Amino acid sequence: MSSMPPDDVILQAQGLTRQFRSGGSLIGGAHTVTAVDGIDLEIRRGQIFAVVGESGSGKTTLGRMLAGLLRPTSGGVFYRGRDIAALDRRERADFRRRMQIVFQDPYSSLDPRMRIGAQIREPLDIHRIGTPAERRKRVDELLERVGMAPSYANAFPAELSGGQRQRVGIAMALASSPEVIVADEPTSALDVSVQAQVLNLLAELQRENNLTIVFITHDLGVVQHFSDRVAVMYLGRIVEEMDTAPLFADPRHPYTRMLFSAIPDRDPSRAAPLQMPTGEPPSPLAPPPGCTFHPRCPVALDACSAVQPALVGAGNRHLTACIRVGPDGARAPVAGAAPSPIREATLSGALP
Amino acid sequence: MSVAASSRLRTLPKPTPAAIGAAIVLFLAVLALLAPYISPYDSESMDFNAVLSPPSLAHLFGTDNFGRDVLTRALFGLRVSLIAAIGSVAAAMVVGVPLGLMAGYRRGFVDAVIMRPVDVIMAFPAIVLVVALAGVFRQSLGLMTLAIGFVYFPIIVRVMRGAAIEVSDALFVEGARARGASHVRIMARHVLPNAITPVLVQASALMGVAILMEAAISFIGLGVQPPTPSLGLMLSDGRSYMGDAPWLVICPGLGILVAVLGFNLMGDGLPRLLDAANRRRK
Amino acid sequence: MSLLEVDHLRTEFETGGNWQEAVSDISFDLAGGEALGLVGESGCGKSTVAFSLMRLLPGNARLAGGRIGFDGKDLARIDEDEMRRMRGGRIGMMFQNPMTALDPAFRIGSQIGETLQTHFDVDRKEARRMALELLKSVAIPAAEERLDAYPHELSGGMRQRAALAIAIACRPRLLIADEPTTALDVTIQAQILRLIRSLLIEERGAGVLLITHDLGVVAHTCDRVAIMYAGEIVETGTVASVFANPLHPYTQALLEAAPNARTPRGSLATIPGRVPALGKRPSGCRFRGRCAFERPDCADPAGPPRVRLDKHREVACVLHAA
Repeated sequence: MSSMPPDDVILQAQGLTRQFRSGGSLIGGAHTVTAVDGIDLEIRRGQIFAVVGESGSGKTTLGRMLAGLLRPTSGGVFYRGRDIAALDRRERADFRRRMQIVFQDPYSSLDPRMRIGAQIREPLDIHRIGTPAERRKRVDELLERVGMAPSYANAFPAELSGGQRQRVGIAMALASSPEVIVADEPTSALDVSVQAQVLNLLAELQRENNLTIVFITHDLGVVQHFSDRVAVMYLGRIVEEMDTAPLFADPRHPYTRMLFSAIPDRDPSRAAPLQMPTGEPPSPLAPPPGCTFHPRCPVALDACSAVQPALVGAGNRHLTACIRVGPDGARAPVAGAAPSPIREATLSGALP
Repeated sequence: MSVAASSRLRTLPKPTPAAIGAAIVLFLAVLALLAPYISPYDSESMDFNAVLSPPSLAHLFGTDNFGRDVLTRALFGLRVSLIAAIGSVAAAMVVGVPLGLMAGYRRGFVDAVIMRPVDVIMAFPAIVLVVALAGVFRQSLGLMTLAIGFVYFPIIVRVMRGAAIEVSDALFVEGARARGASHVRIMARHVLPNAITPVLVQASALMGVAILMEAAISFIGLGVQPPTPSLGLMLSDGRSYMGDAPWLVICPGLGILVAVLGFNLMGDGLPRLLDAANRRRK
Repeated sequence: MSLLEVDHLRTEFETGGNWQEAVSDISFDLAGGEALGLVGESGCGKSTVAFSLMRLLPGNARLAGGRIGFDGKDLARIDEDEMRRMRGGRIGMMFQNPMTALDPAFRIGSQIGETLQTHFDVDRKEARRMALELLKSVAIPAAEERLDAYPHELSGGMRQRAALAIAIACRPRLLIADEPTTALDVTIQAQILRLIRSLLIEERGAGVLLITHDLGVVAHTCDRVAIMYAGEIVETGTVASVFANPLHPYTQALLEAAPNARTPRGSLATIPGRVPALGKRPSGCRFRGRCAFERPDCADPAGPPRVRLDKHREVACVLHAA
């Protein structure tokens, strides 16, 4: 592998686009769905980068492309400066060793007919890491690292709970000592108390190994707690991107604001949300013209239906794709209300 | 019986259909294997003094029109039937499973290339196909077995492909790819074990069908040639004497029935057995 | 007078030949115009409680005791015909998967119409008009066209709105909603919760029993909350008091385990151990073995005392016994 580009950028997306053809038969009528539309991203080594969005946002498709599991329709993914589509066989195997994925569904992410130990060991077998005896030992180590007794190596997935399976999934991802992990909703299917354990585990592992984690989720509480930087996606594009704490303190894009205000708040003393979300996410089959958010946007102008705003930040690290957000970040005021201190109470720890 | 013993009996597991089926098949296989040792007579020795004699102590199932012992011939005939049944399905599996796996896992071009010829073969009614191949395999049990296998391997491909498609969509397959597993590895270690159950069920059912197919082929005179006995041949020969000597058809008929029953029971119970074996390990 | 009074409800499940108590000694009441949240993690039995109230338990489960007072009757004891008239009529139901309420083979309008015609004496035309009004009230855009749509033509959020429309079609006094927004996007969830609140609580003074695992949903939508653990209610109270001052160690742990910006990464509070399986619950307090404040008297087989601190404030824990 060649050396990394400056700024320690380990994973990069350039103009990443993915389209799917749906429907279509002898009579014709196939539709093209653009799931991901021209995404540019830079993820730094050791960063926990969250990709947030609702259904239809394209975040899962983006994750798959970053992990090299799905080929983009156009654009490229660059790992350590190299285009992953242009790797030769040896480099590709190396890439597979360094880039791993953890899935959302603990119930179908494990092979039901293989013992846990064999599944954790598989990446080691594939890449021929260590001797068979060393691999067995590593499996035990990995199980312990994720908080499970080594005796589980002989168990089948059906014997494990959801939280345990998710931990096995993490162990499998760690087996080849990766540098980057794409975690696709790894805790969404788990109970709150189990999720806490898994998040703590991921945090420890990240610290120990300086892992880069791309964390795909729709859970804003987790994002706020866990990630360093956040990209908010809507219908295949990034609408806002910034480091976590400043983003939650000062969300600029109208969709981000709508999203944040829609989280049911655990502090019941707070008043009803400032902006009641309106409408539904449009179907990816028929995206609105111009800015795809404009039909639901409380501050939309006529111009918004004409042109798709670019993701810009004017030199600052806070990127927004909205013509109503000025280069200095000044937001268009919401009609009829003073700017709200959204989430400042959360940041200051005023939660019960 | 003491309380302890009777309560132990009560807790014995109830025999499942699969177990009963397997037992039947096993029993028949043992009979067929030991045919030369346990049959009371030589399969070809004729006793013209006892032509068409009804079941008696000397001949448990009577004799046929050549004075040959029906039971003996049935036991040897069972050999032929079982070889045809198990051999043909085994051949169908050897060819069909890899093809179905590849078609179902790879999809796209590979799928099309494999499935079109398979579909064509499947379009022919089984009997027609077999008759067409009759010229090749006349006189040879081995070739007849292969021919029957050829007729049925598309079914195996179909079932394997369907199951493989479903399994290939699972997250753990994607995960294996993410970990760098080659396609071959994924197909062999992940897709196959998870998709094989319906194929095995289909295979057991096919064994029953293959026995009937062999019987049908021999019945119309295209199978093994006399004097080699086969259950189907015995049915065919015995047909003319059915009114006067029904035992000529009852014995082989019973053999076919029991064999098909055994295979079907085994096939029906297989899914539960295979899944339980994996889940029960606590 | 409470709208719904549940007294010492018990439900059992059959596993491997034995009947085991899944839900034990559940008591709570719900007044009209009020939303009560029933909260717990998976396996706590909250959905079982909902299905017990609706008498929709699966074949391997049964009501084993207790009283369900509603509308002057004991729902646990009325016959099935009467119960069937209740469902969809005086009691509306919503489930996590809207397709539980929607038949994929029929258009939305005719499904709502069918419910209306069953419970009211109206003809098809009138029923269709009422169905249109209902769809509008749940804020389905282009309601007129959607009347003739099939469920698969609608998004998840719209299906759930349609399911809500069916649930409220016959003006129920009580809505039982089992994880109605869990499968929905956050922005849609907010809208549906708002609708439930406005259509049932505010406009009709009906009662809502909202079952969920999401504390945020409860805090936002409910007036009172009951926390469940391993088949029992461990704490009840107004949402304000329970969230501001959780008394039961499990409630505290649950609130602390939720990720938030305040807790540094890697230090989320966790609860040691696992939720005990159905047959393996400890005697005495079921939270034993996982509780940070465990004491010897937690093992008392009679179980922890139910301490009533206030009209609507109760906790089952020795720590708070007088």
